[in-house]
Amino acid sequence: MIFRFLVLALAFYWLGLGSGMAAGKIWVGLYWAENGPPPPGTVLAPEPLHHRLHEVFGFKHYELVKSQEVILRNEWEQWFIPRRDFFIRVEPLRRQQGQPRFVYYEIYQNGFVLAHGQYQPQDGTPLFINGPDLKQGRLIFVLEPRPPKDRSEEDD
Amino acid sequence: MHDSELKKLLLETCPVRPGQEGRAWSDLREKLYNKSRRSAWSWLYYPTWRGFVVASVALALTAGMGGFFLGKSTSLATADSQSPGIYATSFYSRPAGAQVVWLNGMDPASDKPTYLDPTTVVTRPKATPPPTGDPNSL
Repeated sequence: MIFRFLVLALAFYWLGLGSGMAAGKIWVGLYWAENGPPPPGTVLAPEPLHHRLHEVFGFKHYELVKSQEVILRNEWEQWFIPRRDFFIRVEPLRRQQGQPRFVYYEIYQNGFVLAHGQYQPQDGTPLFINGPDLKQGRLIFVLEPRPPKDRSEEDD
Repeated sequence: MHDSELKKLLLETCPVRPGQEGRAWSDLREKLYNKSRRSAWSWLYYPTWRGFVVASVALALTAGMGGFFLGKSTSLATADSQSPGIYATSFYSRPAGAQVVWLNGMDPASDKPTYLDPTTVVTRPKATPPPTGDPNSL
């Protein structure tokens, strides 16, 4: 009887493990997706991210334009401005006790807000935001949850 | 009534068929003295039809609840348009394992300076050639 209980408890522990891991920060990056050969020296998306981006957008290469990290416990607005004409405002919302963390975002183009929404950072599930076309490619925002490096970056 | 009379009455009303007592006794002896056969899975659950039905129902409920929670976890983002002509939607891409916000109706990004660049400043003639690459990149 005790053995059966232990097997059952272990199974439920594994089921709940995925939802228990919390991200301490989100990595925000702007990628320029294009099909032409990337110029030498450009930072391309790592293979797992490249595969995911390719599944959604279908371009051959994803060049990193700029990146920034947003610590989730800093509950104030943070701007990520990789270009003058296309940028994003990110604000981790105050988390209620026992509730998941949500992040508010606003997408700007040429100084005007285009869209806004909320995102729940969860390990293993990045957020891709389809941006405007640029030359023969497209600009794409990537928001990717990352684990905290130390206690100062841990989410409350 | 004596026992002999009772036995006679029983034999008249409920006659015992030949061999019935022997068969009953052999069945009883088999159930009493034979060892019960143990399944290879008896350490986890003793296999009975009732147990199988209960386990199947429990498994279906667990799968349903798991699907409910997994489905809930996949809807991680919302998107609302804030500008005329812009259409925003969000969805979960299962092959990519990522949440996607899709915006339609945007102007293409410009390679030229935008109105956010200072225009009132009198620019001096540049001695050096302009840098190559994306001029809007900061």
